[in-house]
Amino acid sequence: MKRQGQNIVRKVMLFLSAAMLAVPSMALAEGDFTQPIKFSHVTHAGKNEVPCEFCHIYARRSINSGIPPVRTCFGCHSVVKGTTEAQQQEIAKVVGYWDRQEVIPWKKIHDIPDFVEFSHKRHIQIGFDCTQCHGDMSKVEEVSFATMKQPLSMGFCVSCHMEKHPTANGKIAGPVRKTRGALPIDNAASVQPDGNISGSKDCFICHK
Amino acid sequence: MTKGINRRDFFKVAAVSGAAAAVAGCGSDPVETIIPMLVPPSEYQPGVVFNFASTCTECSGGCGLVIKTREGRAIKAEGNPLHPLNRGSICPQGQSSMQAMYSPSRSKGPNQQGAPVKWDEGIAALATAMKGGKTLYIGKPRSGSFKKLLAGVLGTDGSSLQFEMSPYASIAKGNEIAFGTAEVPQYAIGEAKVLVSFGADFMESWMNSQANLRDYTKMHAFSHGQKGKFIHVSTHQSMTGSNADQWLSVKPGQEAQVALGMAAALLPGSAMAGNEGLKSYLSGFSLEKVSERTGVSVKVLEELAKDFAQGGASLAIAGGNAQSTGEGAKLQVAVNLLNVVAGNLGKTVLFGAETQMGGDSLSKMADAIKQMAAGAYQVVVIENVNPAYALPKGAGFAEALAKVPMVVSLSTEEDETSALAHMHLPTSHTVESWGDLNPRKGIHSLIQPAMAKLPGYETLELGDLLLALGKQLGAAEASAATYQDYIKAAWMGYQKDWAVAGPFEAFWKKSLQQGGHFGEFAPKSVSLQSSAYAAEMAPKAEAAGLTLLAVNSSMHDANGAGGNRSWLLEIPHPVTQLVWDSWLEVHPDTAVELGLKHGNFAEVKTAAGTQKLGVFVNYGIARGVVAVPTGLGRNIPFPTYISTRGKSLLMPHVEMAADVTIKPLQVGLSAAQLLDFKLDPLSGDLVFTTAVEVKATDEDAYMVTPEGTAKHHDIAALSLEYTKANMGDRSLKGRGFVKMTSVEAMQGHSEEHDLEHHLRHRHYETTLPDNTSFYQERAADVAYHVEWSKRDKPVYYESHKWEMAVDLDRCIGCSACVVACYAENNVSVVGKERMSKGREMAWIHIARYQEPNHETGELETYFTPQMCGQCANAGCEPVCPVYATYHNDEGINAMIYNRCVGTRYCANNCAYKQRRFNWRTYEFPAPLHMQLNPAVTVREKGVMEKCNFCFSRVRAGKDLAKDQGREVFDGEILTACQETCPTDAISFGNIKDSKAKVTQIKTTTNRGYTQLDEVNYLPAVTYLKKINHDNKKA
Repeated sequence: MKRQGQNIVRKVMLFLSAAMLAVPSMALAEGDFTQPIKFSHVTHAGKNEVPCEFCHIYARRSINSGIPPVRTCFGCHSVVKGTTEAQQQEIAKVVGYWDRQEVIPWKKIHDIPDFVEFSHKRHIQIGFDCTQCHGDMSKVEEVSFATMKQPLSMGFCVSCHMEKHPTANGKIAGPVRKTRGALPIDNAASVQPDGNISGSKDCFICHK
Repeated sequence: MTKGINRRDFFKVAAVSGAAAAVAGCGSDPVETIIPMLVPPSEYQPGVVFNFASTCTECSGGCGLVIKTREGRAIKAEGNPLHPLNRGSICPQGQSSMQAMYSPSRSKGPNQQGAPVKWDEGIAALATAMKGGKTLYIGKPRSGSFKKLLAGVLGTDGSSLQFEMSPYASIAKGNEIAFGTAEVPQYAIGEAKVLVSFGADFMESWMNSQANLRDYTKMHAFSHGQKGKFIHVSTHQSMTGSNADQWLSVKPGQEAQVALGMAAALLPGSAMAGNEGLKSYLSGFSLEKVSERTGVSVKVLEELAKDFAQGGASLAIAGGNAQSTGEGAKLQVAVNLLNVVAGNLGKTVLFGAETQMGGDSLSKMADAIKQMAAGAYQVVVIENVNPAYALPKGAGFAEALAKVPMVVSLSTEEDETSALAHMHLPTSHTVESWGDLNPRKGIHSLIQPAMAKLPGYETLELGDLLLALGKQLGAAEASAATYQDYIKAAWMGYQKDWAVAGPFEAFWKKSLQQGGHFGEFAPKSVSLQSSAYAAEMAPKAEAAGLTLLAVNSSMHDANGAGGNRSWLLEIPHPVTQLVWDSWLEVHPDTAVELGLKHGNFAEVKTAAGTQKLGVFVNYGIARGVVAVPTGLGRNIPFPTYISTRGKSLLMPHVEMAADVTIKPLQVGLSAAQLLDFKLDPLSGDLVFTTAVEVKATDEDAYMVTPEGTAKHHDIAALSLEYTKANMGDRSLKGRGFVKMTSVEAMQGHSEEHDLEHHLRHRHYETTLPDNTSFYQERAADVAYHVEWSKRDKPVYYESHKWEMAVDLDRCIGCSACVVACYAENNVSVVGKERMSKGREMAWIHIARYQEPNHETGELETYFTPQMCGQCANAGCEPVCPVYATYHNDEGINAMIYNRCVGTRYCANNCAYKQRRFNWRTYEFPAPLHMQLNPAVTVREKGVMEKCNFCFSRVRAGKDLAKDQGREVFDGEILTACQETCPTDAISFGNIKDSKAKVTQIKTTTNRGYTQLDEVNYLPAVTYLKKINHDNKKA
C-alpha cells in the first residue's frame, strides 16, 4: 500500500520521536522498586530446582499466576535457615513475616495496565511454557525491569497472537517442562505438529 | 482517500507532535505492590468470582441473595435463583445494598460521642447500665433465631420493639376483625386472572415485591393467548399503578368504598347471598352511592365487578397509601369482604403462611415514647433503624430520647438517630454477618458472611455483640461462643423438626449453599366473622379536602435507608424521572386551580410546618391530592468537584483536576416533616396523609431529569389544561420507541396480526456449511462495506452472536436493571448539576413516556429499558478516528477505553443516544471504591463508554466453558440487567444457537420490532410490543 506522503510522514515522526526520547524516560513506572526481601530465583529455581508452579500456584488455574503464599515460603524456611550471613538475614525476614502473620508486600515487576486482562490460565493450559515470556528465571538473581525478558507491551502480545503456532493434540508443540520446573527437559520433545493455533485478534478479549 | 494522508497517519503525526510539546506534564504509573496470601483457602482463586448465598436485609421481605465476591471482597448482590420468594431477582434497593456495605457514612469503630472507646469497655459500660434498670431495644424487624437471643439477653427487665414504617399492622388487624386471625396471609397473585389492588404498591414496597412480581409475571405476561388483568384503585397512581391495565382514580380515603361496592354487586351471585347481616351492610354501598362518593362512574364499577367474578381466580389486595389514611384496617376488612364474596378465600388468599414482615404497630412506638419521656427506661438501645429521621416531629421521639440516661446506637451507619446516642457500638453489615430469617412459614433463609470485616472498620456482628453483652449479664441464652455457633445450634434443632435425614454437617452445608431450607406451608381455613360487616366497619363516606399524601418513592423506602445512596439518588424515579430531589406531585387540574406551575416551588403548609417543594405536574394522581415522596431528605457524603463556574464572565467553564472534597450533601426533603404523628385508631399504623395548604411561588425549583431540567419541556402540550400547568409533552413524539398492540390482535382477532412480521425476515441461518453464505442475501452490501472500511474481511460471527430481546409487556420500569448495571460495570455517579447538563453515565436507563391514547384521549405510561443496541450497521463505528470502537466477531460493539481520544464523534452519530462520555474523572468516595468490579475497567476523563452486553461476563462464561471443554450453554451467561429483572423482561443469548431463548423469541414472535428502523443501524436489541387489554392501559 504505497501512498504518497507516507515517506514524509515517516520522516517527520522519526524526527519528533527522537526529540521525545531525548527527554528522560517517561514510559517506565516511577517509584522505589526495592523488594522487602532479597529473593533470589537463582537459588530457588536454579540451584534447588523448585518448579515454577510450586510457588506460583495459580498460573494454571487463574488469570493471575500469584505470588507464593507466605506459608509456602515458611514451609521450607522453618527449617532451611541459610548458610551465609546474607542468606540468614533475608531468611530471618521471611520467618519474621510468618511469625507476625503479616503478608510480604512485594513490588510488582511484571505489571500490565489495569485496563488489560491477561489470562495466565489460557496460555499455560494451551501449552506455552513459562520461559517463553519470562525467560529462564533460574538464571535471574533479582527480578527487575532490566532482567525482564519481554517488555510485556501490547506490541509483544500482538506479535505472538499474529503468528500461527504449531500444535500437537491441541497443545502447543515444542519443548515443554513436564512440571513447569526450572530444569529444561534434556531431550526436547520431537513432537510432530498436527495443527496450528493462533491467538484471538479481538481487541475486546484483552481490553476489558 | 487515495492521495494525501490517511486518518491514521494524520493522527500519528499530530499525536507525536502534541506529545513532544507536552512531555513534561506526562504522568507515569506508580509502583504497584503484589500481595500474597498468608494461607490461601483451598477453594480460593484470584481472578474468579466466588458466590455466597445469603439473605437481603434491606427490608423485611427476606429475599435470597447471592453475593458475588472477588479476592475476598463483596462486589455485587444478585438474587438467589433457588429462593422461593424472589427466585433469582432482586429489587433496586437490594442491589444498592452494596452501597450500604461500603457506605461513606459507615461508622469506623466504637465511640462515645466521637471519642473512641475499646469494644470491651463499651460492652461493659452497656451491660452495667442495663443492670441498673429497664432496657428498651428498638431494632430492625428480624424474624428467625435472633428474636430468641434478644429476648434471652434482655431478660425480664427489658423489652423490644421492631421498628418499620410500612403499614402491615392494618392488614393484620383487618384480618383479625374479619377472620379472627391477626395473620398476614399469602396472596397468590400468580393464581389470579384478575388482580385488583387498592393502593397496594406490590411492585415497590408492599410485602415482598420480588415474590409479588414473580407471581405477577405468571399471570400478567401474555402466554398461550391469555393475559391476566391488573386494576389499580387508588389516589396516587405510583409506579405500580402506572403499569396497570386500568387505574381508577378515587377521592382520597374512598378506596374502601369501591371494594364494598364491588362486593355488593357480586353478593347476589355468590355463596354468601343468604347472609342477611352482610346483605344489609352492603346495601349501604350500592354502585350509585359508591359512584357518588368516589367519583368513579357506575359503568366502570359495574364492569370491574363483573370482571372480578372469576370463581375464585381473582384477588383483591390492599396496602400502600390507601392503607395509610387512618382507616387502614377498615379498608382491609372491606377488601376481605370482597375476596370472600368472590370466592377467593382458600384459593388466592391463603392463611397459614404466618408471614413475618414489617415491624410492630406504631402504637407500640407511641407507648415507648411516652415511657421514655416518663423516665421508665434506664437504657435505650437503637439498632439499625432511624426513628429520629423517619418519625414525624410530633412523635416527640428525640425529646423523649433526651430524657433517657443512656442511649446506645448499634447501627452500622452513622445517621440522624445515632447522632443522638451517648455511645455508638457499630455493628457489621449483613454482608459481614451470620444470621437467619423466617419470612414465611416453611421458608428459613440463612445469612452468612460473604467477606471478612471491612479493613479499618472495627465493628462487631450484631449477634456476637449480643452474645458478649449477654455473657456480661449472665444470660443463659448467650452461652454460645460466637453467633455462628448459635445459629448452627438453632439449625441442629431445625434439622430434627424438619426430619431431615443424615449428619448435621451435610445438612448445614447444603443449607448454606442453597441459601436456607425451603418448604411449603399447610393452608389454614378461616371463615368470615360478623364483626367484618358490623356498622362501625363502614368507612367514611366523605372525602377530605386538599390532602397531602406521603408516598413511598419506590427507590427509597419510608425508613429512608436508601436516601443516602448515590445510586438510588442518581437513578431517575420511574414515574417522575426526577433525580437528586424531592417533589410535590400534583394533578394538572389541581395545579391550574391552585395556580401552581410545573417546575416552580410551591409552599406546602401542614399542621406540622411549612416547607418548599418543587411542583411536578402529573396525570397519575387524583384531583384534590398532592403527594410527596418519603425516604429523601437525608445527608450523603458526595464529592464536590471544583470548577470555574460562575467565577468570572471572562473565564471559560473549566473543571479543575485539583482537590475534590467529599462534603455532606442534603438531598431533598423528609416527608415526615410535613406529617402529624397520627395513628390509625384500629391498627396503629402511621397516617401518611394530612390536610394541606399549597401556595404557588415564582421561584424556579431547579428540578432535574435525565432530559435536563424538568422545566425544559414547557412546550405546547397535548391538551390545553396541561399547558396551563406547564406540564409539557412527555410523549414519544412519533418516534416509535415504544410500540403497543392489543390482546385481541395477539389472539389473531384483528388485522394487526397480519401485518408484516418484521423479524421473520432477518436471516440467522445456522445450518449453512460455510460462513460466507451467512451473508448470502446481503453479499453485495457486505462486499461494498468491506472495501469501504478497508478491513481485510467481513466480520463473521463465528462462535457467537450476542443479541437481546426486551419484552415491553413485562417491563414495569422498576429500574433494578439500572442499579445492577451501575454495580456491575463501575458506572460513575455524577450528581445533580451534571445530570442537568445531560452528563449522566447510565449504560442502561429506563425511559418513561406518557403517550396519549388515540381512542380515549387519555395519557398512558410506558416504560422502556434503553441500552446500546450493538448495532450491526452501527453509526458510531465508522466515525471513530482511532478505531477505539469497532464491531467484534461476536456481534458486540466493542469499546476500547485506552484507545479513545475523546472526539465524541461516535456519540454524535449514535441515533439512540446510548453513548456516555466521561467529562471528568469521577470519584468513588472511600470505601465505595472497594465495591468496584475488577473485571471491568474503571474509566477516566476523556473516554467514551457504553453498554457492552456485560462482555466481562461473556468472557468469564466462555472461559469457564473452555476449561470444561464444552460450548457455552444458553442461560449460562446472564447480563447484569437480565439477571436482576423480576419480570424476566430481558432475554440475552447467542442468536447462532437455534435453541437459545433469544433465538426462539426473535424467530417466532409476531410483536417484535427494532427501534428507529429508518436509520438502518440494525441493532441487536429487539423490542417486543406492549400488549394492552382493549387497546388501553393506565
